[in-house]
Amino acid sequence: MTILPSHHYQFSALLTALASLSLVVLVYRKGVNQRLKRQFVFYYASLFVWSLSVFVCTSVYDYRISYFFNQSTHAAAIMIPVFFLHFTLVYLGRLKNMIEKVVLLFFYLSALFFELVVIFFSDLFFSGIEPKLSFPLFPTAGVLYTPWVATFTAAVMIAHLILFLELLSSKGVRKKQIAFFLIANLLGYTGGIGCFLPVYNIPYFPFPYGPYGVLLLSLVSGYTILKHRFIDLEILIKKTIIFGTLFAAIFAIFSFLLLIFQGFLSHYMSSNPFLQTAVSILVIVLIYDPLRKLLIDVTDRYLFQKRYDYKKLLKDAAAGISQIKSLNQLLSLVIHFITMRVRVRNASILVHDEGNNYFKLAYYRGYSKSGWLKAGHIFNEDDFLIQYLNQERTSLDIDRLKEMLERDQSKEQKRDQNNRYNYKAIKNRMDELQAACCVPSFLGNKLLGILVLGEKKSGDYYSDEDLAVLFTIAQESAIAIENARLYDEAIHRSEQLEIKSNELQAKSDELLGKTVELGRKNVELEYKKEELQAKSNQLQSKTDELEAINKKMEETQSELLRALNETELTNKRLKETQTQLLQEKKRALLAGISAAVGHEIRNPLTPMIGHTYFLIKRIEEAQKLYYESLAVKLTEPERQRFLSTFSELHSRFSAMQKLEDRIKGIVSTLINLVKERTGKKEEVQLYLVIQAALEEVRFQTYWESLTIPEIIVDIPPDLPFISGITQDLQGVFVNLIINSLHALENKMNKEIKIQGQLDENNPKIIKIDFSDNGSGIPKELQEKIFEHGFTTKGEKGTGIGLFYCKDNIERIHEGSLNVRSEPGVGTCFTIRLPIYDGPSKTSGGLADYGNTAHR
Amino acid sequence: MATLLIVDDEVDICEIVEDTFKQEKGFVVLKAFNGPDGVDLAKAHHPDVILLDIKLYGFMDGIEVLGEIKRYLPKCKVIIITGFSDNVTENETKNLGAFSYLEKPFNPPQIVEIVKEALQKKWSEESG
Repeated sequence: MTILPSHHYQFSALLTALASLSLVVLVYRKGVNQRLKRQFVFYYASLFVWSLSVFVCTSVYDYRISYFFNQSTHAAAIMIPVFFLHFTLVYLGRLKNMIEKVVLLFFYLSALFFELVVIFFSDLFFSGIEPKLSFPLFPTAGVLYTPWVATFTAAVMIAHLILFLELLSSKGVRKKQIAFFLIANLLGYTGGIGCFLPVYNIPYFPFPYGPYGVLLLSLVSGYTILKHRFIDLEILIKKTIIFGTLFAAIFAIFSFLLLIFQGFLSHYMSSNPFLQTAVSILVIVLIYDPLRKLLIDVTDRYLFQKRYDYKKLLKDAAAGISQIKSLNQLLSLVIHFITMRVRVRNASILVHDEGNNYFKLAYYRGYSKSGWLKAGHIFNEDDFLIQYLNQERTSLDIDRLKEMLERDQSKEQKRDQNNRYNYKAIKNRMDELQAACCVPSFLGNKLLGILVLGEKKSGDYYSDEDLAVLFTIAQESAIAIENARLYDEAIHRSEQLEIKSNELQAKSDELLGKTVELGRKNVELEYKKEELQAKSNQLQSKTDELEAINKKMEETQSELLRALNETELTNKRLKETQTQLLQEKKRALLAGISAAVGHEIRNPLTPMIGHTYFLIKRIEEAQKLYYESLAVKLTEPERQRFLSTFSELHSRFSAMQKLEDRIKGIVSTLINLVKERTGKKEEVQLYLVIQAALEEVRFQTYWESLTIPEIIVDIPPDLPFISGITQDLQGVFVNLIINSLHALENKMNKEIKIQGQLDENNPKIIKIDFSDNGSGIPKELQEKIFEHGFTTKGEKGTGIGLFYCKDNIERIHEGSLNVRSEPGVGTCFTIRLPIYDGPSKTSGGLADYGNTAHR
Repeated sequence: MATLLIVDDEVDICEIVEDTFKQEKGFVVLKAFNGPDGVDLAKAHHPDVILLDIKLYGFMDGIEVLGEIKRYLPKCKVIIITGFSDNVTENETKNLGAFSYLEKPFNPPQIVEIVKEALQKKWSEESG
């Protein structure tokens, strides 16, 4: 079997028909812009009719059918160049001046003329159809065929020329779209030449490969639509759809190659169809998997944007921004980070100004001609763009906006309340900012800033994934930005205070000068006694003035003190915001989980405890009954067996009771860890409290570069519960651990050890040794460390950590906290706490109930 | 004879409470596994003490049951038994007039002690 020209025609025409039909259906159903959509559908529908007709008329032997499809082939072919030209004009937004309209009208009229010829006077169009060049039946050019080819060529040339000129003057995404569309059509019409040749009986290249060019036209157009949004569609194309389509296409080509291969084999081998099929199957099996992998690779490379390692991107971002204190520095970092990582041309940040309720352009980078754009430019809160971001709470990219704008325009007649936003104004604002994407940054419900990103350097679009990651980064930076803003505010305030203080100094100097002058005048007065009265009056008024100024100076000084206090307060607030925010989130989550766990475990535990209680009671009763009535009737060995059974039952159920108590304690510890502090003493499992404290330490030291060493916790599992307030004890351990971590900061082999045991002197007390091998505490300081406000950590310390521990353990828990330390060897804190001995009258649920004094 | 009503959707808990009070002399124990049944039983039998779970399966939760009972039987002593609750709920039950509050799990002597305490309070109020 050899491949004949007619086979190429059939195969490629069929594929072209499929491809163009898919494009027509896709764009017709999901297209956004009505006018563009219509012209596109006309163009590719004519391609579809043409290719389907070519397929049929090169396949059939029946004269009448072939003749009819020859007519339909040409009826479609006549429309192709005209629709192509029309679509090109509409797509480029032309068709506004008279000349273009006239030209288009001319081609439509000539197309109408040739259509009439093909339908009613087809003899003039082709002189007949006959078997030639391996085609069963094929037409030969008639009188009017050549004039038609001329108009065809003219229309195609004009369209290409217009596209080419537009390509030169456009840029960015549009340039890419036009380039792809131009290439697609160049390929298509170059191949198209091959389709005219056999009509004139010229069997030279590109015959018989012409129709492949037209197939490429459809495929490249499809690629342009999917990858570069050549025609705006309402849907986002899923990877699987593209993959499926591509796979089908390539598989079709693949099977075709296989067919050739099979034909080729039959030349050299005895024509045993089974053997040929077997070899073909082998080839399929060998090639299938590599082909699939190649396909996945290719789709990833060309159809989808490069994937960033998003997790890393986020981690880097968070690590960077948390350490920067100054707002300007922070903003520059965020912008720099995003321009480098996401590779955008330009970016800027608008930051909300607390005092004035407007947004200020705080930082920008990469703008080619900034013009009016400069730092400090102000945008009002009711700016359309800002309103949109504030209300929608999502990112906005320019392509989505354009889509909404177009939809908006197409619905202009029935404009209703759905159109809440002035998209046109938003677009203008984004164009001004040279923005391709705006990402809002919220702290709680407050819009704090807007990240404005320009076009990507690659010209790619912002994918949904991009937007999601950017949104997350923006929220992460919100906390940092707020902190930096508070910090800057504090700096700014202290600068102002300095200025005020300088002013006061100047004023005081001035006063001094005035006093000297007054003195001199006084001396003068001595000599000029006759002017005394007048001068004395003058002097009096000057003295009054002096007093007034003095008073003012005092006032300013007290103002200075007040402002200084305020600065300190702001600084403190700054430190607290971050940790608080994180902890609240963590607690809310834990509270939910613990509530569910607590409920689900405590409910079945209640009857279980009851059953065990009664079992033990019954066993005791049974034993009593046995002694009273049964024992005397039994032999000694039987008696022994009874007794051992009783004691085994008793000891097993007692063990169970202890285990139930343990579960009870653990669950209540878990729940209390997350419950709001009630001030009620309950049974506390020490081990769990320490674990919880460790978790909290990890949170609290997250921003400091403290490494947490392995902490050895040595607490026997059968250690009784402590009577205490879980949250408080957790806090004590958190303080002790952080304290030790600071003491261990410069140490090589860090070690923290927590040991719990019964106090050897008092079995109702649990003793906990908390020791580290840190720098230790000098003797003279050991007494001071528990004092309020004492710290050795400079600005880092607050001076309340150990004070809180001592106070809480001794005053609230009625325990004790002591320290032993040797400088250079380490420190050991010893905590003593009372054992929990059941819900007594003073600490149980009943008596405390209704007593709100604790809260 | 004192009448005790337990309202809890956990059948096993109701039964262990019933067992517990069968061994004590002088108690009649009624059980309800949901809120509406609890209210109906309370209206019909006027129990002296009610043990009431907060989280009830179905239309009414413990807070609603408590409100209803206190409206019809203001003298009845209601003891809240619960697996987990926050301070807000605890305060709410107190404001609605609950006698006391007991966390699950409890053992038989604990529940007996609390119920007896409630009874004594009730009787002393009636005689005083």
